[in-house]
Amino acid sequence: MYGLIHRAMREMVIDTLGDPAWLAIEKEQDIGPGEMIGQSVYDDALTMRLLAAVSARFDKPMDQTMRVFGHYWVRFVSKGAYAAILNFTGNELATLLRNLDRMHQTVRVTMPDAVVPSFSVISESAQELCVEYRSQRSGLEPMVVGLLEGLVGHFGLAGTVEQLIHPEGPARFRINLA
Amino acid sequence: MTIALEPAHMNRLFPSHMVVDLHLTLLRVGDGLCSAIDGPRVGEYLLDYFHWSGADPVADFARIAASGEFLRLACKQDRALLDGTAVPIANGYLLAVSQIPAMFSIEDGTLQMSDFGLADSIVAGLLLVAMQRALLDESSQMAAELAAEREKNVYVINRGRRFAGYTAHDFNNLLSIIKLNATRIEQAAQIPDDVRRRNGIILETAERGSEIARSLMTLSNQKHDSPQIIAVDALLAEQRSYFEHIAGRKADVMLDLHAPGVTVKASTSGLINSVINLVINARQAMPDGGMIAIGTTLEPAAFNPVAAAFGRTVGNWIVITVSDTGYGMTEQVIRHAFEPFFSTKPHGSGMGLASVREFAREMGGDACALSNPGAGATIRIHLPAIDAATGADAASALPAGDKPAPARGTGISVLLVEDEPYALEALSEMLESMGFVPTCATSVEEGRAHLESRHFDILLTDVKLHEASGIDLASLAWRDRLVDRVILMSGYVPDEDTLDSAWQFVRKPLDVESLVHMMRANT
Ligand code: HEM
Repeated sequence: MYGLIHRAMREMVIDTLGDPAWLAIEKEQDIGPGEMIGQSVYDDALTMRLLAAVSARFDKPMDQTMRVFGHYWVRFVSKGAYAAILNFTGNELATLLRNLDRMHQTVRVTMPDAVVPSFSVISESAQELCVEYRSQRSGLEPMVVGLLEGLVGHFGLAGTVEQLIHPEGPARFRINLA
Repeated sequence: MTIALEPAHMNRLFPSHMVVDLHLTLLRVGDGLCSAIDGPRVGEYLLDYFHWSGADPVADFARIAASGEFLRLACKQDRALLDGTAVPIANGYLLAVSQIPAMFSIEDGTLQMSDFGLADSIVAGLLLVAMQRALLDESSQMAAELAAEREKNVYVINRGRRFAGYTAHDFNNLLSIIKLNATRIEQAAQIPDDVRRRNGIILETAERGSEIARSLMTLSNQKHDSPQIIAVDALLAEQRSYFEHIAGRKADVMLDLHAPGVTVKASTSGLINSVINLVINARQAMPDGGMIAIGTTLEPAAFNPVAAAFGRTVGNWIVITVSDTGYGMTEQVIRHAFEPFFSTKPHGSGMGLASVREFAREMGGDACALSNPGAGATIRIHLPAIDAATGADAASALPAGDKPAPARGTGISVLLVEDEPYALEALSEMLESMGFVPTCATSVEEGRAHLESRHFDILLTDVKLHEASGIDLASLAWRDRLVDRVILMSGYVPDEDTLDSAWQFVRKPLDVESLVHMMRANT
């Protein structure tokens, strides 16, 4: 994945556990600023290794850490220069989810090696939204739960997110709005 | 072929479309237009909202619709534009137009992706501009991170070097004691041959040990690239865009250089790194942006506080300042600001100011901070400027005194300053046995006390003493003409700039013969 993702991960650790925790991860994984270059592409294996190291620091299982990272990613892109992109993509939940693919496709123009997801809103009501997620990668579903929860919070809504059992097709998630 | 488009389709393709009758009264307004512009509403006249320069708009629209000409509507309320064309429909026109954002920026949050058609390439353009912004921000942040990281590494390496240097220096002192005592044994009249032979081995091994210590000291001494003559203003002006990059998008960098052509003898990378460190600090002190001013001034030594602290009154000093408009520093923070690992920032390495001061001091100057909480901070780097006429820098310019008195015979009085008691004892005994009259001191303080009480022919002093430098003692003795000659002893070759050309130097561990030869010559 792009170093941008590693940078967000680093921020998450520093914000949550402080500088020393990240320095310890850097030391134990033998990495430094060279692995944090936003525009460099790193092997997904490195990203996963970092995530495992972060999980160990958080003392949480991997899927929990991925979910927390999902929350953090929404916070990461809702401040600084990425905020304009997020806000432009949508000023309410369903619109943003519908426009995500278009945004990610444009992101790919500047980051040509990005493997971006595809989201579609398959049903929408005042109480719930059902979303389908397609990806070339596998195993990121816990992060998607966190991302969707993060977006619910971003729009000041209350609600829960669950992954639906849908063995045949793409992963499905339901956002239950309170 | 006729294509029928439902309003929902039209909203997706042209969210800002409008339908008007032949008299330009609005019959329908696309969803996207409503959120982008306040009005226009169904039933109202189109040109109440948009500028139109033609005298007969009704005829103009009929012509555009018939020919498929380009249509531009400029909004009266703001600078938004709608570009497209008019398509004839029954009893009116479909205005198939798209928004052209006035600012081509999504930063103010007024534009939404859904205000544009799905096939509208402006969306990609707007996103790309925003992405570019984000990437630029990130790269300037990264440049600062990498510079800080490099600084941290340099600091750690320097610490290692210094440690190696101190160890080598102490090792050298021990070798000095061994060598001096072995030389005394060698000079004794009656010693058995086998003792003389073993003593020879001790002397030879001590000599090999000193070679190792010497190379360690040479290595440990190379902290920065070797000092060069630098025109400071030109160097800073050259690095401007680098400083701007590191300052980030929110901070403006202003160069205020008033020392054109003034040169200093310093390490180029050390000077650039120091200014970069200060720019990074300034940027971090101004999270919401502000102004970073990098300036230079030339100050006569007589008016420069650092020069005064060094006891120097001759020549000029260049002062390089980096000021910010950030939150400033309290008195207490200023007191600790230059200490290594001291940082007020949550992610600060605490290396920045410490290494700036270290650099400045190594170059014969100093660094200090001025600040008022809330009113920004200024860091000043003071460096001795090179005198364009003589080529000497202000740090080495000592007031002229009479040159040493002429030679005298044996009975030469020597003030011997050495903080290693065994070395002092051995050297003093040896000098005494050779007809010199040594007086011993183990510190600069003690040495100064002897100098105040009487005159000496020679000051023979170690350079690195525990509390202070033998060079300072030598400067004082030389300036006040308390000695006729100065001989410095050290494992290091001291920086030439700190020495007077009339002084002499012997390398440690001492080669007694050449030392005595040097002491007897010219006297
Ligand atoms: C300004 C906002 C955003 C930017 C700049 C952005 C950028 C990116 C980039 C560059 C990648 C590719 C990583 C790689 O392959 O190296 C990515 C992946 C991804 N993004 Fe976003 N993203 C943003 C917001 C979101 C949001 C709000 C969601 C919420 C659902 C999201 C969901 C994902 C997911 C799930 C992936 C993983 C791709 C996969 O399945 O393989 N992104 N994003």
